[in-house]
Amino acid sequence: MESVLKIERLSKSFGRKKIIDDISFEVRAGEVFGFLGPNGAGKTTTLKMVMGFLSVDSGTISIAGKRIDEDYELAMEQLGGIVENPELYQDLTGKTNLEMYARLHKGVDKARIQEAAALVGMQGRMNEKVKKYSLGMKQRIGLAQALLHKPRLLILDEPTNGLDPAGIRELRDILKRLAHEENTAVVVSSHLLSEMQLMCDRVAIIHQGRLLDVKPVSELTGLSQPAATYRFITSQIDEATKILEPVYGEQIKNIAQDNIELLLETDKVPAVIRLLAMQGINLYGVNRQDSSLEDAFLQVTGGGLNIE
Amino acid sequence: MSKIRALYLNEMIKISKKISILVMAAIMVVGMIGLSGLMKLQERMMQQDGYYQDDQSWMLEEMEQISANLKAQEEDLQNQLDATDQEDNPAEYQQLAYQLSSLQREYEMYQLAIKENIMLIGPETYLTRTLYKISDLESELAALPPEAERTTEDQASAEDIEAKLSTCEEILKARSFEKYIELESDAIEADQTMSNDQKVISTEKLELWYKLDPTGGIESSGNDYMIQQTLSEFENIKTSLAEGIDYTGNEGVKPLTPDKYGELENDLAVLLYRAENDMLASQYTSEGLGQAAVSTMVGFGTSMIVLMILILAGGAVSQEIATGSIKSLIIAPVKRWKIFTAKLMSLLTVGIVGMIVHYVLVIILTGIFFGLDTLQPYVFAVSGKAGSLNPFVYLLAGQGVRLLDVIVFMSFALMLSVLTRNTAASVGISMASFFGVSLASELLFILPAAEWIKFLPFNHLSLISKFFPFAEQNYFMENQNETTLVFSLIYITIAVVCMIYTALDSFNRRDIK
Repeated sequence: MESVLKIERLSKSFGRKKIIDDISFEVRAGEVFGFLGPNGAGKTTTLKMVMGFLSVDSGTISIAGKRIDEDYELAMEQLGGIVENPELYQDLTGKTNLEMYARLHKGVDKARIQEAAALVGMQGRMNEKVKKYSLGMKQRIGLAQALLHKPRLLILDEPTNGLDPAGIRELRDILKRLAHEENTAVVVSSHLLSEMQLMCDRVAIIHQGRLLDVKPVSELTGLSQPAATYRFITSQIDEATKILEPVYGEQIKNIAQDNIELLLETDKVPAVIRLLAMQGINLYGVNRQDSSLEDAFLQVTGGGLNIE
Repeated sequence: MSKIRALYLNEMIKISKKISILVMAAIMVVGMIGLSGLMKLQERMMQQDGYYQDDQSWMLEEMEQISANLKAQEEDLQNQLDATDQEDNPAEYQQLAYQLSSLQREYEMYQLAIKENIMLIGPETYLTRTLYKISDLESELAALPPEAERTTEDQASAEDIEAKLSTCEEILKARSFEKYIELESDAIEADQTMSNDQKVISTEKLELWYKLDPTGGIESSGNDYMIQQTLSEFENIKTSLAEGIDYTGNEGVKPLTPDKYGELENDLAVLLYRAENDMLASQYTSEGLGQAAVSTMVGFGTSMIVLMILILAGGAVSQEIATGSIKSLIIAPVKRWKIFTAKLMSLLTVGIVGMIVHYVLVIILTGIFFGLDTLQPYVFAVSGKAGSLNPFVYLLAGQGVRLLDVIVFMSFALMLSVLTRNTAASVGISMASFFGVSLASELLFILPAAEWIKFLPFNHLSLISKFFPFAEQNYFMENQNETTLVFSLIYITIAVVCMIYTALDSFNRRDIK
């Protein structure tokens, strides 16, 4: 896969404080890349350096093969993005805002503006002033603006801020379609970790300015791990415990009021069910418990998570 | 280039939607209409009251009052004189007698004035001058020995004085300015104390007076003060040129340098051009009021445009950073210097368009309220030859010069906006300095001459008087640290370039967090 964003040995200090410390990673075309970290970890700083807000102390950033310190305008042409909230010109209409932005890019015509507005479901409200929009509507116009010139790299910093659950689902679908169907590289940072889990293909974990890990989301959440936690739901906890303890004693993770959790390899599950059933235990259900991104995150960062 | 053009277009769209700009523009228009309307109202009232034409009854009353006072003083003096013993105290007696006789003459003059209905109060006319002359002649006559003791020489001068007196009376009787001029010319011709140059100048002055006002000040047009001032300037300049001594300065008499000689020659040419082309309206005439209205409108409008630019430039960068709208500019594939350049160009456009709209407004309002004739051409002179610049061109050129001030303040506010990233601070500071500068420039007239004062910034603003040196001459006050036009232009160019460069450099390099 072609790499659309390439960051090599990036560092940045504010005053004496080192905010970003020697970060390198790549984002490929066609993937949704999650940028994960507690507040103050350096997510936004990194993304702002990519988008040209902040100068780079050392290291290089390339977008679609162009280094931003050498071919700034060519590199930035391949970039679309929203930092924090989309800040539009309040006294102008959504349409004028998009037209002004379109003017700064090559090959964006009126039809494309309509198309982008339709993509975010704002085609009916384009002639209203931005100050009359709700936050969600502003987000949509912001997204339309970021997509207007069909960038190969789309960066969204905390994109689900202010969106309702339906809006979040819609955004997720749009981003997935952009990545998987139109081959756009999408970088998303968010503190809603569960959201990232549903949205991202790969996740980078950043903590105190250092990049701790870059992994496919499935690896972090354990889908492809051989062993997983299985929850057996029954009303006869004591009996079930007596039966399971001699065989799987080491693997019992938790005993609750109405269930027992065992750490099992997947192919061992039918044997457990059979054993319990034959001993006359009433099983109401068996659930596989994926370890969440939160768990994985806590594991990687050593528990330093701090959600605002 | 196309990127800068696109950015520039965007900037203009943003500016066009700014409420503050629309409000300032509205204040400018309403204010200018209001100011010129008020001036028009004053003109109306002036015409109704006749201001100080026609109504002379109060002057007569005043003169009778003065005359009564003189009579009282005279009686008082007479009593003192009677009480003084001539033998014991000859010096005091003589002085009192002299005072009494001059009081008597003054009293007589007022009596005569009242009888002849000549106003000794108010602007000078040939008739008041005649009255003064009669008074002078009579005191000369009184100074001669009594008839019995006169020598033949005394007798000759007495006859001469009496001849003059009778001419004066003729003037009063005939009420003829021509006769006055004739008499004066004869007197000048006969005067032995005057040099030939002085004689020529005095005669020319009389001719100029006749040319400017053939009624000799009787039919007051409200311009009498201007005419008298012009005449005395004429005399001053002519005398200075003839004698090689500068009488025109306000720091006493100095030898005339060759530079100053040329300057005075030009001043004289301009003075005569104005006199000959009927351009001596004072503010007591409707024409003069119209001219005052034009300059008020020009001043007010320029201030409004400067304030408008200060608000725009002071927020140009800081406001976008504060609201976050700068983000969509930074993300766009344009280098920062292009963003800055587009902002600068849009501000300049507002300044230039503002000055042009202002120019058109001044012309329209002047046309409506006072008539377009009110707009005065610029009269200038080069090596003693006068010429004039069409009033519309002159006003437009003036707008161009005033635009320089706009640009200076704009650069200052823009620099503050970029450096402080605080709109309130940059608009506040630049407005304070705008008002401070207009106050400080008045200080220039009282500051002593010193090299360092020449480098103070406010010495190089309002260049209008340097571009158009013949426009308005202030004979009472002088800036001792006056610099040349070229020096001022270089100074403000360097200042503007430095401010713009500082702003650009900071905008280019600083992080936007």
